[in-house]
Amino acid sequence: MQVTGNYSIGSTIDKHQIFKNRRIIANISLNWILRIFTIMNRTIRAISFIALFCFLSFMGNSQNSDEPAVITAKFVIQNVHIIAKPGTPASFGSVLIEDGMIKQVGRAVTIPFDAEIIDGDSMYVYAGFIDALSHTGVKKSDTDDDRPKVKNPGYPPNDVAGITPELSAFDFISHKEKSIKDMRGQGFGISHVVPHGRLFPGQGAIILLDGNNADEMTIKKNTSTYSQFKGARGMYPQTIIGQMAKWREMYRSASYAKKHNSSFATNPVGIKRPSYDKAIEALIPVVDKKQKVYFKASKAMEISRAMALQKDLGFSIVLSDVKQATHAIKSIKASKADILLSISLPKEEKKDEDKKKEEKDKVSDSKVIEGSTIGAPLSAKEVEKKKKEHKAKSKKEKKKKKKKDPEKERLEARKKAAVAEYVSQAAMLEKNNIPFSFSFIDSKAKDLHPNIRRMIAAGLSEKTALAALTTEPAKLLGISNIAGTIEKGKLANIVMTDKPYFEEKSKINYVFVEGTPFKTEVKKKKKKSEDGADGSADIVGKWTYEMNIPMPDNTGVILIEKTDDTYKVSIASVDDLTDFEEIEDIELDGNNLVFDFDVTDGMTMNVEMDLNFDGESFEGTVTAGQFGTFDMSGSRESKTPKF
Amino acid sequence: MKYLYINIIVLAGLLLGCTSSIHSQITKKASYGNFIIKNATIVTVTKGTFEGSVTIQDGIISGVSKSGSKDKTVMEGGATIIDAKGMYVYPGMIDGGTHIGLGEIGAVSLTQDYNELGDFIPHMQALTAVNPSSVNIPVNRIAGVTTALACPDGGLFPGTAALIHLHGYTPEQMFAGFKAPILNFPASGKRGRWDRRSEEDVKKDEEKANKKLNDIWTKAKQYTKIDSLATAKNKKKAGFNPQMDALMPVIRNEMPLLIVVNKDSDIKAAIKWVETQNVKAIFMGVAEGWRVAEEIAKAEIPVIVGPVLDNPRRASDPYEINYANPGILAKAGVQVAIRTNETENVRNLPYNAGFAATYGMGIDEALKAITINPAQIFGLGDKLGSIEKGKIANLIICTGDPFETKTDVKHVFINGWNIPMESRQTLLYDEFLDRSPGMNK
Amino acid sequence: MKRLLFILSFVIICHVGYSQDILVKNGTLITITDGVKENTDILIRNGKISQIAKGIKAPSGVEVIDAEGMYIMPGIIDAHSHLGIDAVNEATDPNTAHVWVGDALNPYDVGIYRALAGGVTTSHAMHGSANAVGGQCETIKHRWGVHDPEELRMIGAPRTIKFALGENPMRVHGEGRGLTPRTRMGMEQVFRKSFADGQAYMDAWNDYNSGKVKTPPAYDLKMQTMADILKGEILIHCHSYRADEILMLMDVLSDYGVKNITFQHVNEGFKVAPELAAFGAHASVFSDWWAYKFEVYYSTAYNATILAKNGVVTSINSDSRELIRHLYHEAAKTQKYGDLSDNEALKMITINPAIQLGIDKEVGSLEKGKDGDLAIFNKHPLSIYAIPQKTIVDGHIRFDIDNDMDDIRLDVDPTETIPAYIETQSHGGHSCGDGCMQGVAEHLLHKH
Repeated sequence: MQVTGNYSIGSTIDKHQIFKNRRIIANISLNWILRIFTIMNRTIRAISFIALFCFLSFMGNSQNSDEPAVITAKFVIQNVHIIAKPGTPASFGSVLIEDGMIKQVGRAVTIPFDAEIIDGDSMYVYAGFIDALSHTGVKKSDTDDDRPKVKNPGYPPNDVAGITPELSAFDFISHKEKSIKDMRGQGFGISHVVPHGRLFPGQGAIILLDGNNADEMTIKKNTSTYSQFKGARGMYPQTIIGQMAKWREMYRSASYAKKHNSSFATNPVGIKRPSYDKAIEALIPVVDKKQKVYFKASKAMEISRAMALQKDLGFSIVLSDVKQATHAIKSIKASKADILLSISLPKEEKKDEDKKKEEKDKVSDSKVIEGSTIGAPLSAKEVEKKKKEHKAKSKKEKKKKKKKDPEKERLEARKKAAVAEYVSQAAMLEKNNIPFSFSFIDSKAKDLHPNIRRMIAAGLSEKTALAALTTEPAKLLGISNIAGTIEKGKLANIVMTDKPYFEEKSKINYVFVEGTPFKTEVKKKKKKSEDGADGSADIVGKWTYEMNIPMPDNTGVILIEKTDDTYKVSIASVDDLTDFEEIEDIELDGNNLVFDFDVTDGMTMNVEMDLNFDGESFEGTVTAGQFGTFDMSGSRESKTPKF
Repeated sequence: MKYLYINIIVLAGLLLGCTSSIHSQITKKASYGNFIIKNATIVTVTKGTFEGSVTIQDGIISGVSKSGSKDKTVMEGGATIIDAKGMYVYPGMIDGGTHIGLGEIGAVSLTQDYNELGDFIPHMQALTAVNPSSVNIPVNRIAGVTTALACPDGGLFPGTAALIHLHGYTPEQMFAGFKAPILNFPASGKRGRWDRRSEEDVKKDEEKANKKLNDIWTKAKQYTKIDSLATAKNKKKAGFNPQMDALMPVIRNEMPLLIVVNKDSDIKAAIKWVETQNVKAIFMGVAEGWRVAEEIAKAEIPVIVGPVLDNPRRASDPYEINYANPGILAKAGVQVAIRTNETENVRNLPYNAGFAATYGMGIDEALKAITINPAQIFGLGDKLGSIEKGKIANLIICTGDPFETKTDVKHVFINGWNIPMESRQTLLYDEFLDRSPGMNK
Repeated sequence: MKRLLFILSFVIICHVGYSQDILVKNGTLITITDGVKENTDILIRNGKISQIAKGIKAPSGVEVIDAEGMYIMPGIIDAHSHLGIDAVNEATDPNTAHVWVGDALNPYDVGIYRALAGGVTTSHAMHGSANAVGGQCETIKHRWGVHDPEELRMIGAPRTIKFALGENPMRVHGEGRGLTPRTRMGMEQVFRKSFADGQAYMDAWNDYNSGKVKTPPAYDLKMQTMADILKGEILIHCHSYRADEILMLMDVLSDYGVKNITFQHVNEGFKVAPELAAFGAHASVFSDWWAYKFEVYYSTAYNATILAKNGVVTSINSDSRELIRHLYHEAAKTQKYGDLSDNEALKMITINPAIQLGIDKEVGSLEKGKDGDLAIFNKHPLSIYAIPQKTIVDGHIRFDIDNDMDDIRLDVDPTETIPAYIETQSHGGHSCGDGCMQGVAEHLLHKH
């Protein structure tokens, strides 16, 4: 393979150089932080942590200041297998991209002199994937994690109670959100994104996963209304019954408001002026069926409840992030509701579970030895004797344990069947001719490839799987004319893989978003001899870290210990090296360690770290709740994890 | 703040005043003396069932004789004769675990005396707080429950339980001769449907509790050792340590430890702990005992199971498993008593036993589980739990099988006292069945 | 192989609920409304009782159950339960008439199966008692095995709503939030205002609909529900304990011309039994619960008997996932506390609750034309030794002791192998009393 372009998938191309003033902004913010810091009680580390990230979210993105300038907007992908749309056989040829659009596709493509050429020999290209529903690139609103107090919890203001259908995802889009990079890395070029929130979080927007601000990214805004069964805290509507009542009330109020508005508009004489209510007003497009309601309904009961509301009120529904539809297929088919499947699936039973169980038994047995020595102190002889007895006993017990426990077997079989039911749901929908797309509300981008493969193993056809990623969401979102297939004149959203996408070892090499190429970083694999037998990196030790944030306290210590197959991380900030946050049972994936923890002080913030280790150093990111994602790096001080 | 506090005190005073002003729950007095119960079917529990008579003298069953036997019932100083033709005599029922006498009104915390502050308080004595005038007592005893274990509850070692007779005017009069500290064995299950702790948190809490338990036990052993040495050397023992004093009889195996444990894996852990620490134990609750019945039988630990009228603990469990639990344990060879774990409705003890009987335990075994078995488990097998000469005169006379709701209990004897068959609930019935005035003033 | 076994076990479940035509032969029929008929057959066709007679010949294709020596009674009805719903209390306002537990039905609640195993075929899934005017309730049939919550509903059952008096709403709103009601005085005014507002709302819409007024009133689901109560379209089921508060509510209802009410729990109902009878109010009581809070301290287990003897239509309810499994035993306690006859006792869990729920034309007795809901026992259901053998709902066998699987879950969590152990709380002093307070935020509850 020959590659002439050199763009990292992690960095957007700074088309407009809008960050000239970044340094100045940074300086102002730093001063602010320092001023606040002098006022704040520094002993409360958690608060400083939060404040720090609050301010950081105003900061510019400093990671791509050294990007090379854009040379050309014309690209030719040469000699690739083109899968123009689901169900068509791959054809060999080239794709010419110009001005963000697909200019030519086929065998005879004229190559402009000023085009960058990407030789795609033996590679595969697909239309860029479309995510039918997610929060990609959407920041959480500031108030979401608070628990506001209201005087009269039966009648809280709508916005406090999570009734905000007037909000627009557009207003919360940040091009710096890590989720954009993550989704793009999995082949997505377009996302249909909705705000975070509660019962009525707001309206959706269709965005490109590239751009320097919401304006640049947005294809359409206020395309849909999003709803989920998530109640208000300590106020109406709190429980599912409150939420259902509020839904009916909002919808019917909007219907009446519409009537009232129109009769007032026709002839206002003798009619009281309709009072304005932004939430109710925002639902009139739903009443008019100009907007579909994307209703998050993952579990079986949520599906039936959303459908009950739809049946009762008559709006257009898209059942979203569906996980458990097996028993609702008939009614879904009858209702003609659109459906988005969640890409997340329950974990498969681990094969080495028996091994683990034995280990557990060992642990509990050793607890008893401890117990027995606790009482009166035993002589060394006695201890030996006890140990021997114990060994003999545990041998016996192990023999016993090998006997099958019919109850446990039965329960295990049921769980296995339950997992299978979730995994085969996509295939079942296909069998019933119910079209569907995928949503990513409750799932991670990286779950896509392995999970879609599990669905295919459970009977889903590759054609339908690809349609669910391309043509189906395009149709649902009303963007079929610009996206979903590789066709002349459409947006140049393209995924390029080294093997057919649905193969296990298939890797994405390039993702084009409106003609801008993003190349996937190939992670260096360490030689096995240096690392653990399983190919995972050796990461145990004492490390120092630095976060890419303009703070005096941006450094600290990370201690990493290995316990059996998992790792334990202890982390402390330099401002208080006595206060270690401890996280256990972390799994190392190759050289990648991901873990999270909560910082609590009045409010709780989740901090997630995603670190890639390379010998004596690591690089990665830290995501601090709603405040954004920042780079961090570190190096090893010693191989003993002690402070 | 201070005023609020005073207000609360005043309120509490009012409430308690309220209670005590109506503390006479009965209009008649119990009577004592010599009694002859004639022509009854006597279900002795230990010596078969037959027609005959029972005599009561000085609070003791002075004689049990079959009809037609040559033993002549002679009572010096005369006796009250009860002709129980067509009726049955049973031993008074014993509830192996309750809060009776320790709690008056569920939601009024100042009337709840079974849950003291602290996690390690084995020295808290249930008997101290038993209220002989509790309205609960007459209500429940006239259903035939004559004796109940009054249990503290709460933390790891919530206190020392006491067996009481449901009649008497002082705790001492009521005391039935058995006391033992309670251990709430560290639980690895969720405490209820509202328990939102993650599995990890549950495990952590359990481990913490286990560690605490073992720490306490180590200290208790050392303390006992020091105490023994002090006694042997005739020296003074150090310091005031009522918690450890309360555990000493258990360490010395002079007293059993009541271990509340329900979940299968917890029961197994408790068995191991008991074996390791060489403790004389009685298990209480034992809801998932059915899954580990053989292990309990092998360990020869008696159990006080219940409530029987209870839901299974897991969604995947058979619907009837709690009804069947006592029977499964008994069949495995475990000595089984039944408890209600109730405060105001200890009177449902026969129905808990009845359901156990129906779902596999059989009537005879179920009857034992609320009479002779608890008596033996509490070390009072020679004093309570059956109709035998020389035993304490705790017995009931009823119209039929006491497990059946149609059966009426006609007489209750506790410690030889003939108890008036009334309570606030029967008095209210008498007053309101045909209220006067009715609708008109 | 395991997989096959698993599939087979589900075939059995499906089979259990397959037929709608059943002939039960040679049993002792306890009809409730027409005496006890020994050695009699009962035929169910298309889910309804089509014939009760001796020696009925089985029509072709009808499953026959030989019930010789068995007792067959109408499916038991529980007038107060919280089974099969995912939310009990929307405890956010003293009046939540607009919410409806029928929105939260969940056919996967294993409690439904456990109730069936106690012969209960119908229950009244109620809103809780946190609010003076609680939410609307739902009468459900225990059609265990269905996946669609819609299939739990008893179609045609009248709408019902939960009211609550006394300590619970006083604690949640008065003590917890400083909002009226904090006393039983405040309680009365909450009801009066709710009814007055509902009346005004109804009037406003009447004016708009008749063209008298051009401006449409603001839509308000809460007030709409109050209006529906005033119109007599919704039956009230009121959580209550003390005699004075019961009299209060009857006064308020009289003033607004509302007649349909069943007082729930009503532990002091016995004190005002003549007044209840005169009003035509019904009572649905516990067999013996008392003393779990102050307002039930002056209770008596003879309550049901006193009410019944004074002419009040009285039922025994469970309000509990535990008691609902043996309501036949709870009813039997009326024979200990008041020596009621067998039929009087059994009416308390059959025809009487049916009357209270407005479904006595469909269920509650063995009569031709009624729903094919049967509970079959091996002994007389009032005996402690009786074990429910089969429970039939609309002609479907939904519980069969001979086909009872150990693990009956319909919805298996794919993330847990062994279902969580949960300590039950049904005993040891019913912490906050009744099941009615489920879901009320814990900070509002005073730990007992």
